[in-house]
Amino acid sequence: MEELKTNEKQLIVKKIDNGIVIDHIRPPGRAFHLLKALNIDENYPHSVFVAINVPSKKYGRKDVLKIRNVSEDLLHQSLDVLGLLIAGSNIVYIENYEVVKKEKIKAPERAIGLMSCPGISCITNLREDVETDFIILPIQESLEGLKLRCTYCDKIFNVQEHISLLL
Amino acid sequence: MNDSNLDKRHIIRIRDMSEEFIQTIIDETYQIKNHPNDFNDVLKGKILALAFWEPSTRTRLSFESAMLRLGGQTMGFSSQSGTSIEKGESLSDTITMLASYAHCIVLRHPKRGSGVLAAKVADKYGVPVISGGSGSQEHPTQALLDIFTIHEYHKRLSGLKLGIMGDLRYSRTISSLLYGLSKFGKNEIYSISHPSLGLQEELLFDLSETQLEITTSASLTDVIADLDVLYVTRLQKERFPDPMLYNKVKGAYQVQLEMIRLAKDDLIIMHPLPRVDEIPYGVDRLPQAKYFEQAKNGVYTRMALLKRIITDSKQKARG
Ligand SMILES: [Zn+2]
Repeated sequence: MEELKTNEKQLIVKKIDNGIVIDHIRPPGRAFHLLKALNIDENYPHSVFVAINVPSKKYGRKDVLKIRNVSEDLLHQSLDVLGLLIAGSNIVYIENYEVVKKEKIKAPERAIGLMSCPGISCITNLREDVETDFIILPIQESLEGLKLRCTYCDKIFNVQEHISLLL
Repeated sequence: MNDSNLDKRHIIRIRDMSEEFIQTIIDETYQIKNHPNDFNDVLKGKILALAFWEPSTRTRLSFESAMLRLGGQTMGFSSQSGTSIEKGESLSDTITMLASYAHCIVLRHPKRGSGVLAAKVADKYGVPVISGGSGSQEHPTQALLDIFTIHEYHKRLSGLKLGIMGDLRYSRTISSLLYGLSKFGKNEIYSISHPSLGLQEELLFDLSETQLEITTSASLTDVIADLDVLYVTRLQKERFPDPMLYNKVKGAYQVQLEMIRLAKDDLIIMHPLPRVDEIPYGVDRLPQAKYFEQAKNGVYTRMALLKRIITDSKQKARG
């Protein structure tokens, strides 16, 4: 058991030369959704390190993501989705193995066209030419996730419980 | 609807309305009810489109009567059958088409959010939209006529004790009424329903920030003696997972003649109609029964609203 911990620790501390690190991703498994949000898959030209279910003193278990040579443009296009998923976490920018910047991921004020509405009787789930539009309720960023409210059907829901509806 | 750049004339949710706007409509409704002939031709030459995706006798005919009494004309459809909607036309396309035919559109649609979408589409053409009910969400014109009726009998919209009974969960009428009353200060609400048909979570969330005090009551008998208003809605069998359960519980949410004997003389009993057996016919003869007067007020309230919306210049109505 002790040996396993050491191995996991070694995996996490392995440094990347250039790119970003997103640590403290919760709940475990969420890292896969982040990759999807960032449009990163096997076709991505650089190395991507994904650690799932890593023991964390503070949170029990967490994920860690390290992406080499990611462009800031790509990252900024996805900031709203990242904000929905992991508001409060930091993006750490690495250059030549050194941390050069930390950026806190903020919850967006509005989520437009980012996910389908879980409201079963919502007009946006009919075959209509309409983008979904949610306001983010002013409840603090927390482990439990952000609360969204559909501007069409008024449904209030926790984004973490409806991750599969992300577009 | 969180879109401040949309035309203020759209009537989609009571939640978005100000107390001042509701008061203006009440004042205008009194004017019209007292002098109906003074308004015979204020909307002459105007066309109201009635777009009803769901059958509705009362709301549609009430709007139609209101428009005709103001000298205007109506056109539209009252169900999906025989229209291009049946062939798969979207709400957006239908509204786009109607916006070029009419000066105002009333829509009734089974989906929540349908009013918001219709308003966004019609807004591009400068045509105001009035929701005649959007799924279980809101029914703003019903609430305006309900609030007018309460004001007519009690001369006030605060300091009231209201009992609401029946299907509170899927009743857009109840949601809109409570949003409306919450603008007028302190009122006490006693909700009487089967646990599976209590008020919507979203509504409770919004109302928690208002002065409306909501208490759950086990039975009407417990509270009837204190009430100023009793608002009853119809229980629908299809809302229960089990028809046996419906048969078992429906009696608990029916008004009984002997209960009314415990009530105050100035209690008013309201119902959005149509009623089935939640209010027995015997109650109709009691002075407290106001549901037919309430329906009649629907025409005057909708006249006030149509006059205001169609004659007003863009962006002004809701102030
Ligand atoms: Zn919705």
